[in-house]
Amino acid sequence: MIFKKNGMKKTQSILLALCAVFIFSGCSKEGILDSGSTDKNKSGSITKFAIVNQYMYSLNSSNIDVYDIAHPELPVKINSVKVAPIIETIFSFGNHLYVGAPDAIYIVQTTNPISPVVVGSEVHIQMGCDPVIVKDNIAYSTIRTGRQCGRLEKVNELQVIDVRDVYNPKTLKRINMNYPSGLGYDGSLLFVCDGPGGIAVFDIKTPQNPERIQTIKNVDAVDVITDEGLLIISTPTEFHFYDYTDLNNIVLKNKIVKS
Amino acid sequence: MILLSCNKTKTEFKVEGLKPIYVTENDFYDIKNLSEQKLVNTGSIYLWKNFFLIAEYRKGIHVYDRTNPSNPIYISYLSIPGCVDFTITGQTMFVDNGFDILSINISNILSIKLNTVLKNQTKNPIEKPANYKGYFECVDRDKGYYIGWDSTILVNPKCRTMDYDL
Repeated sequence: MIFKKNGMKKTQSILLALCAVFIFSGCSKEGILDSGSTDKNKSGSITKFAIVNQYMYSLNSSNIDVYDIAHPELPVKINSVKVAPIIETIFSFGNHLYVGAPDAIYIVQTTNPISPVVVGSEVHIQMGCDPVIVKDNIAYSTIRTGRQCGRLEKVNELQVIDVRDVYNPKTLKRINMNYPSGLGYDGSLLFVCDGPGGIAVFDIKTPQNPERIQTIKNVDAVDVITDEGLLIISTPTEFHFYDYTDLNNIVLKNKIVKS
Repeated sequence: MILLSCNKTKTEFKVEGLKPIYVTENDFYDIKNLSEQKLVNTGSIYLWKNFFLIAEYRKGIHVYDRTNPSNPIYISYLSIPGCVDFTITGQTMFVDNGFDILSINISNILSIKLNTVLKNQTKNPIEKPANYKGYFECVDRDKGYYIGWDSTILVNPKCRTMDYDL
């Protein structure tokens, strides 16, 4: 029940604000606090697992497998639900799982946690790789093509998707990027790993209209975890730790270098 | 030129490539702590308590103490053959080892213990080497538990990655 420690207060205040704005949309505070797990656990955005309360959702080829982990020493598989031919990443927010696939983002409802149901999808025209994260009523997803990620058309962009109506998500905006992959947010800051293009920092005070305010250069960023002013970045060869408490002076504090 | 290419098709096609490394069932489920290992082919990143964890694809998990968050210190390596991805709840880690879902007690991260193996949970459609472009020997599950790749000379290989797989 405890939301990720980082940004809890911020999240609550944003929640309250958004509930006030979107009260008609059924924005549910308890739904959002339900997601996440106990402890201060955070994964990068490129992951195949999501834990919501006593259930673990695991991507398995084209399915989401559901495990009851009320007794974590003895997990029990209780369901397996087909989503799409290939699914790659999963993100839990409120009563939904957001699943990144090469052809689309799928929204999976977990109102009944043991029986997830695919309710909506936003189809890309292009094949691409695409982790997705969600904040309130907006999903942010990166699409990249080239290398192994689809070859139909070269598209590298950040997509901003309105998911207020989960049955009918709508892409609001496409922002050109270099070779984007993992992404994460902290309050009103969105960090997008952009491969050789570094890390793009967006202001998302207006969630549907991210404003690029900063770029961290000289890093081939793949995935990110934000942690109370510290940005943890994975690259193909290194891990970088940045202090972003001063956005005008983001400082590389440390590196782990592969041997 | 024409003769040469005709000859080629008739003879064995030999090429440098990769072959799967297989281990026995006992070795595959030998979950244990080891001293520091090299970071080679890393995957997921994860924060848990005061620890920063990095998956080592098909092999295990590197554990750093981040009591000082910007100065992580390597404290242990979790040897988990097959490790593809992992997550944590409470004191328990769940691992996809390419075949099964493992439940591992990590209440003492320096002395982890395997709780349970839920066998044959994952269907990985195509096993292929990461960060690699070229031929490889196809994975055959009947040959044992596959945990990685070795360089070799291949004869008439049937599997090939067409593009870099990052």
